[in-house]
Formats: sequence, C-alpha cells, structure tokens
Amino acid sequence: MYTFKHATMKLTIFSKAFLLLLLAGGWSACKDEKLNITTPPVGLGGDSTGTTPTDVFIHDNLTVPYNIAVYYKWQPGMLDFPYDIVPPLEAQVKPALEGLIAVTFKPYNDQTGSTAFLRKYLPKTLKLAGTAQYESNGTIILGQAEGGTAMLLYEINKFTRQAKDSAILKDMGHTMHHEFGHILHQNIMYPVTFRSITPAYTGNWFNVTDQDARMEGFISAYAESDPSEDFVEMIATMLIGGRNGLSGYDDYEKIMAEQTGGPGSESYNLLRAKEAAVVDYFANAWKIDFYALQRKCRLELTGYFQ
Amino acid sequence: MKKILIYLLCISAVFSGCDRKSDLNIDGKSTDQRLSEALATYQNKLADAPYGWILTETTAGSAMNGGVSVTAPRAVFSYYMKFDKNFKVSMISDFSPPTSTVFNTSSYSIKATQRPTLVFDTYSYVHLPCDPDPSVSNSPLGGGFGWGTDFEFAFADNIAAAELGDTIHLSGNLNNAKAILVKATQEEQTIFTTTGFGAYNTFNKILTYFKRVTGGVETFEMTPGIGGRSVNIKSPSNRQLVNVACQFTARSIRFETPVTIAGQSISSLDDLVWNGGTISAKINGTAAATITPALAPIAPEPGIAQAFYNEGFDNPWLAFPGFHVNGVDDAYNILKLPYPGGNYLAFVFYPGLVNGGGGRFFDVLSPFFTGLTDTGYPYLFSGGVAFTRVASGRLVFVMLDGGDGVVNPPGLLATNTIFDTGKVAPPYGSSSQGFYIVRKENGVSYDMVTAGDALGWMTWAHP
Repeated sequence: MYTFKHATMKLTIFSKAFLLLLLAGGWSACKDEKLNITTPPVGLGGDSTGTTPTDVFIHDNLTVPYNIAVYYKWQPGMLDFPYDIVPPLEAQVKPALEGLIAVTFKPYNDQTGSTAFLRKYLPKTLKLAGTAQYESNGTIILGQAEGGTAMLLYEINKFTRQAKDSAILKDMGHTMHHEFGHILHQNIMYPVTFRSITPAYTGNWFNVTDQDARMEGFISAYAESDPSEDFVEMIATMLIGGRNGLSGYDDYEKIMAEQTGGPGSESYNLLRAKEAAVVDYFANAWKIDFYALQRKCRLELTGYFQ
Repeated sequence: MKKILIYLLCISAVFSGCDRKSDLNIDGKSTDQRLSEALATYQNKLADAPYGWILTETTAGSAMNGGVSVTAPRAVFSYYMKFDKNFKVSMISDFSPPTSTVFNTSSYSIKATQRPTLVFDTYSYVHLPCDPDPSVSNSPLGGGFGWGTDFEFAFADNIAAAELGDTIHLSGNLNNAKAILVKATQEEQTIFTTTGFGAYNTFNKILTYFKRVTGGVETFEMTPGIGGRSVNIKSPSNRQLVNVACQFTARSIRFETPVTIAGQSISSLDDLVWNGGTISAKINGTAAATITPALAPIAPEPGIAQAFYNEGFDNPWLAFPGFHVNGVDDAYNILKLPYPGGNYLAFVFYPGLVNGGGGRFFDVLSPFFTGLTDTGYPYLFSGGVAFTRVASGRLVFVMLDGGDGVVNPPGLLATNTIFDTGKVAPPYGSSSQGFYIVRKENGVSYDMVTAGDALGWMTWAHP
C-alpha cells in the first residue's frame, strides 16, 4: 500500500516535468506554421463581382469623402433573415444616393464648413434594398440602423426626382436624419430632462396614428415608443418633415400648425419644448446652429424636386 | 493508472496538434484558394454556355416573410438567360407580356454560403415574383409575401462544379423553390431572342376568363388558377376542377403533370399560333387543336351564385386587388386606392349589412380602409351599396348611390361601373347580365366574372 502510494507521487512529479517539456517542444514545433495570405480570402474582399459605373460613383462620392461603403448588391444574410426583401435595381442606386447626398449630407457640410463632421460620425456602411421590409404587425420598415455602424435604406426601386413622388426621398432622408441623430446622442447624450417633457412612452406605438400622437405632444407615432426615438424623430421631422398618411410629407411647421392643437394648446407647447431641447442640444454638444441647418435643409429640398 | 491514461492522451494531443498532416492544404492549395477556384468553376460553367440557359422555377407551395410561412398557390416561372464573365446576366421571363420579349440586364454573383450559391444580386425579372409589394408581384398572398419564389439559389446537385452537366439543379435559400437550369441550344436561342416567350404571349392574347380547347377527345375549358400562375381545367364529362401548374416556353404550354380528359392524357399544347381571335395548337405535339375564347363556363356548378351570396351574410367576402380587366391585373390600381387618413385594406362584399329602412336590407360592395375612426367604408354611400339578385345562375348587382357626395377616385368609379353593368366596357345593353361565380381550385375562394364579356374578374375569399 505504502509503496504504491509513493510510486504514484513519483510518477506525478516526473510526468509534470515531462509534460512541461512536451509543451515546450510542441510550442516550438508549432512556431513553424505561417499564415500566408497573398490574396484576400473569399468573403473578405477576395470575391470579385465586377466593377460597374455604380461602384465607381460610390467610390468617388461616398467612400473617398466619407469613408462609407455601400452594399447595393445582395449578400446572403446581410439584411434581416428570413424576410422577403429584394435587392435594388442597379439603375436606381446612383440617382437615389445622389438625392440623399444632396438633401441630407450637403446641408450638414455647408453648416459645419467641411465634410469632416459627417466623415467622423456617419455610419460607415449603407445597405440598400429595393423594397421595404414588411412586418407581421402590418407596419413596414423603411430604414433602420445597426448600432451606429450601418444604415439600411429601403425602397430604392421607388425613388424618383418627381415632386409628386418626393415622399420616397423624404423617407430616405428621414431615415438618415433619424439614424444620424441616434449616433449623435450615443456620442453625447441629450439632457435627461428631455424624457420628462412627455413621460407617457409606450411599446404599443404602432396602434397609434401619427395624427393622434401629434395631439398628445409626440411628433409621430414612433416617437411614442421611447425617449431616444422621440428625440431623433424630432430632429428628422424638423429637418425634412414628417409623414401625413398616404397623402405624403408635410413640413414640420405645417404639422405644428395643422395637426397639433395649434398655438397655445398643450400638445403644441410640448412639441415646442422638445424643439427647444433639440436646438439647445445641437448648440451645446455640437456647436451647430440648428435653425440655420434647418433652413439649409429646406432650401436643398425645394431645389431638388422637379 | 487513470492518470497515466490522461497523460498519454495529453501527450498525443500535443503531438497531433503539431502534426503537419493536419494541414488543410490539399494538393498544395489552401482552403481559400480552393474556394475561389470552385466559385470560378461554377461561374465559368454558367458563362461558358454559348447559347445561354433556360431556367424553370417551381415554387414549393409556401412563402416566407419575417419567420412566418404561409401556404402559397403552385406557380412555375420560366426564364431564358445568358450569363457573362463580368457578372452580368440578361434575361426574359414569362412573368408578364413585356418581360416575355424585352431583355433586361442585371448582375449575379456566386457566393460561398453553406452551399455554393447563385445570387441574382441586383433587381431583375427573377425578383418580380419575389417582390413583397403585391402591386408588383401580383401575388395573391398580400403585402410582405411574393409567390414563394427565390433569387438566392444553392447548387443542389451535390457534385463538384467541374462535374456539372447541361442540367443544373438549384434550390432556393429562403423559400426552398426548386429551379432547373438547362443549357439552351442554338435554335432555342434564336427563338427566344426573336419571339421571346412566344407561347405565353400568344396564349394571353385571348383575354377572356374562359378559354376552350377543341380537337382532343373532348372539348375542355381552361381558366386561370389562383393568382393566374396555373390553370384550372374542366370538361363536361369531368366537372371536377383539375389545377395544374404550367410552364410556358417559346412555342408550347407544358403541364407540370399530364391531365386526363375523357381518357386522353394531355401533357402539352404545342406550336401555338395566333390567328387573330383564336389560337391553333397541337395537343401533345400532334393532334391539331384550336383554343377559342368563351363567354360562359363549360360546366357551371349548379346553385353556386346563390350559395356564394348566402355565405357572405355571416362572413363577408374580401378581395385585395381590384378587377382584372382585358389582361391587366388590378387594372384600376385598387390596391393603391386612396382615402385621406386611411389605408386601403380590401374590397368587401358583405350582403345584408346596409339597412335601407322599411325592412329592406342591401349589400356592401365597397372598399374597406383601416385607420379611419368613424367608418371603414368611406365610399359606401356614394355608390358602394349593392342591390343584389340571382338570375339564371348569375349574380346581378344594381349599384345604389346613397347621395353621400364623397367623390370617388376614377379607379373606384370604373370598378363600380363594372359591378353595375357586368361588362368592362360599353355598349352596356338594357340590363346587366351580372356575374358568373366560379369556384377556385382551393374550394374556398371564388372568381366573379363579368357575364357580359368575360373580360373582367375579381377573386373573393375569406382570408
């Protein structure tokens, strides 16, 4: 019994030392492995899909000035799966991006004096889809953001410069201002007092019409979902307008005049209080004169449509 | 003892961890190199076919969106396409008359996903039936669902790319639709580039709902299946509807499975030629036949109009698109029917809902809108109330104006005129002949066909 125990201890000591030696030997043997990548691997830039004039446009107008990659060709699993979404018509990509740059990027550049501000904070990826994403609760998604890194723009196939179809570009612009607003407040948070202007946020926002929401001091139904959504919906609506049912887009001031209770009413005052919070936030956090930016946005919008 | 075994295992693990044989290189090529080569081989296979490919896509009978799968009618879509080395693909398809002759160029890519996958990566004719907007896809499944077709296809032959032959099987990644690529011949290329999907065009030159085929053992009738991507076949001796998906080629209509009529098995109608009003054809490629337009069903279901009407009393009938008129689906764009503040949901036929006073009840035959607070039928009392009767097995409407004064958009005016007259265009005659009611292949949805000219129809169901 004793001898057996003694022998085991010896073996333990011996084998531990041996194992260390082995590991050392194994380590040095593995050092010979070399990672040899001469060409980028498939799926990480190694697969060519041909360079088109659209690719050249994107490179010159978005990748170089803003460091943005644009995915317009369908990549399996890139958008929400398993949704029935289709890629955009290639001929629509350039005009839609030009429209987006004209009515949303340019005003920011003019206001801040260069592309540096957008280059720093814009999401680095745009993903385009030809149609909207249809949800089972009856809503359709016209754009979303992926944690400040990517922005998804839908309904590219419906884009035109016709004034009568202006709602499509305004939807895209609304998405861009909305998502960009999120990135801004994720970098510098808006004052906590914003949440208490209208504290009645609800997850049931999609059962509320925009019109009803506006009578309760929210600029859109979606703004009722959460203070952050409310904040960025204010930014987007003030810069590009808001949906008015199927009849299209209305300017922020038109919504204020016609779809709230009007000057002096509670809903009107609540929205004006939120407006003031947004303007203060842009002035304090980003040194941007929001009203000047808003004027530039309106000017570009009116000049854009035919 | 146990410990010794563990140490032995450790030792062998350390050794085998560094074993050079575990190198993933095969024939001196890394995984990435082999992957690139395999993808290039697939691409060359497609791009090297000198006369292009014929792609036939058959749906699996379901459509997926947002994790929800719904049952979809069977459908077959055919394409003639040419792939080039610069990842461009040009094609025609039998989706609609314009797409059947006008070539469209878009892009494709071959991706390494779980299986090697062919992706039509920018919008093309392949995407039309996939489009979630029903006003584009003409899908009967409503917003969010196409036809259950795919545009991202895995190579499904499970053999190396280099071994693929002239027939390549594909399987859709989202909806599991099956597709077959068959290498085209020079003759086929010539036909497709000159006349496109000629059979599709020719067959659809007959605009009536009822088409009769004579020349076989017995005359039979072809009517459109749900959504118009299959046909329903009926004959006097075989009154049971047979639904069959059909593939259109340059000259033929091929039934997915042969249909037996009075003992004769029919698998195709070939060599279709338009003769200004009728079509000459050959049954199974041999027996001369004629396809003619017809104004009435060949074997009407007895009592069907009354039964359809009665069923609506408890349970309103809904139609999402408006009338198909003269070959155009939803000709008056009812899917986009506007009303301020509301969203169009469906056209509703709801017998007995309108109290006319004095014990008289009328029927709702008007569009329903969501998002409105006072009524869902904003156009009801300006022309959307029907006085309905059943005459000679047909449903006849008189559309009443409640004097509400709500201005009807032109599309709704045109729709109400068809309801009122049973015809899609003048001359209307002294009284309406009303509508035939035809049960569809699923047994629970019905087509309402203008009895005056059989040129207009609308599909009703309880969703």
